[in-house]
Amino acid sequence: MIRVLVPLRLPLLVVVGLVMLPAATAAAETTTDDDATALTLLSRAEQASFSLGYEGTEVISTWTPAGTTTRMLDVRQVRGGSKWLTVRETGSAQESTMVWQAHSGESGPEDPLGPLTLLSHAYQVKLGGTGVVAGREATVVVVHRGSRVAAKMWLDDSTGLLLRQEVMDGAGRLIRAASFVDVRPTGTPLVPRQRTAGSSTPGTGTERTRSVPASDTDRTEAEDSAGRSDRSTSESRLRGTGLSLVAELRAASSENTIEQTASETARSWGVDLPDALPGGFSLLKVRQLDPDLTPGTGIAVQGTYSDGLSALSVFRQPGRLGGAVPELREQNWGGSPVYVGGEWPVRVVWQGGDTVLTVVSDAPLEGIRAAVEALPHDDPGADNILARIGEGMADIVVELVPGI
Amino acid sequence: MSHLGDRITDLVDGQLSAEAQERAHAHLARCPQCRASVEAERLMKARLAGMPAPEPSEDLTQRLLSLGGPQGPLAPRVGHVPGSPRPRPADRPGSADRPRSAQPVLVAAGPTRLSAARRRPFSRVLPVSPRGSQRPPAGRTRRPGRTRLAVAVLGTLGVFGLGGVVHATTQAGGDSPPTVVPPVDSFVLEHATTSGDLPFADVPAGWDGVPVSPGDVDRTGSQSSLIGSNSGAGR
Repeated sequence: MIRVLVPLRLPLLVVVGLVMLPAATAAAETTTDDDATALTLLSRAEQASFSLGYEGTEVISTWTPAGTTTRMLDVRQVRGGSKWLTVRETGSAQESTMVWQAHSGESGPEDPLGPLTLLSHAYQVKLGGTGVVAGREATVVVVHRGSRVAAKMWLDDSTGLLLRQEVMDGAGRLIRAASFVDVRPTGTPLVPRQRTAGSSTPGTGTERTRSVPASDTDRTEAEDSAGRSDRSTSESRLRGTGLSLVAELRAASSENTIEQTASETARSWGVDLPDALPGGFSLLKVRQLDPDLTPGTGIAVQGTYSDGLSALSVFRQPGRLGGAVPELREQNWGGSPVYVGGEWPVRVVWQGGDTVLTVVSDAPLEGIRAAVEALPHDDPGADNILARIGEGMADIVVELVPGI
Repeated sequence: MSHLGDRITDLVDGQLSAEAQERAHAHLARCPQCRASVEAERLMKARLAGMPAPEPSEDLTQRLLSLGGPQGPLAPRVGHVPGSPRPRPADRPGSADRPRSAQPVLVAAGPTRLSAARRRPFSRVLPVSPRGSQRPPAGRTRRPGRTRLAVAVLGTLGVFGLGGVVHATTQAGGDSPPTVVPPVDSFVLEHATTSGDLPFADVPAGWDGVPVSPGDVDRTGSQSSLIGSNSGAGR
């Protein structure tokens, strides 16, 4: 078993004041009570993702043009601490484990609205009924983009934990599903800290606070059996909290700090990454890669984008692509040649000006394609400019100097 | 030295280099066979040069002129057709010491020194100016040969200069950019480390359970390896 210690950084990055464009404001303005409740449930799920101790078994399946994959993971999370994911290899005794380190102390992300802001920026969320996952009663939240369903989430009524998630592509086809087949809360959940909403960018001084209803998050395993009995009361409270949440999201829509911070950091390195990509992807984080990873190519930078449901990484290396990329197939996207690996996660490599760009993402393929086409590409005819000038010059010379 | 063979034509045309021409003359001095061949070649060329230009039939002339389009035949073009042998000064408009035909003549373009791929065999109709005309017809005038050559040379330099600018612009700095083979598998792992903590991205995309090498453990797990990482707002 090999353990990989990975810092839990992204939620901390997705701090208060993420981009909320006017479109999101418009969506929030039409939010119904059910939408507000859905937002609150998602906020609970985000909180539970780090504050709840639990262990269980999760099955993850992906469907891509390259094929179908199914994996079974043993999941164990220490309350407010690290998360262990252990994958058992199909048909063998081999297994591997990845460990996510906890946030500092026993606190969660400093921006509780970050992922939710991303999600509500790119999608609309609504209540979608109820269900049972791994023997636990759950409320279904449906994530829409326009008229199509982009995802469904089953959220544990008792703990708020995300029990099952289905992600669909633009045609409504299921491309990814992750579901607990067994889950057991361990210990008592953390008492949520006072959550800070709004921009917490140092120096901005624009902070707002609110309290997550402790009674919703503080429920223990012993209270599970009583979960349904007070459902109506809980839903009423959730709606109230949700409307408050909507107001906060609406207020956050006028602030735009994360993307600007990330892109400005990239620019200070001489790297230009767009603040946002089509499909609602916002730039959350940039970082320079270990030089040992990309020897001899100068500064290589990774930009991480997300729409709240999926992540998309853009790797930028100075230089020229040295021919075909092993194991990737050459395709033409938007009139430009790219090398594509279609299995999950999708990988795309191409020449973009004086840099080689690589995109890795678990988003639906059409979203990845839109993002890739929005990034710089070589002009297919650029390489032949000199050749074409030469041909034209030869014609001129032939016309003017016939003796040669 | 063997017989001159194909070099006889080049010798007669003056196409041999000075050194090759000297060797050829030395050979001719002691080889009557090649000397006779050279004389025959020169005689044939002289006779061909003295022959009058062939006169096309009236019917052919009219049909060729009718190709000019609905507005009637094109204005006669005076002078040299690009790609054809350069006319001697006596052939140019204004020269009175030699009669010129008022009829179109077919002029075959000779081979050029361009690469084979650029060679374009063609024949063109050359309507020459009416007899006795001292000025070319309206619509087009010909530059003197030196002017055209100068234009061509300057144009060539200009275009190559432009090409240089374009090249310099595209290369941005002049040094050849490094050849890159992206470590895609490593990028997938890097993607997993940054996307795995998104609460609604329920599984770290890119981490497929393949055991990671100890070196990767150090790299991905070490905070110090994330050099230059931006802190984002609120960190």
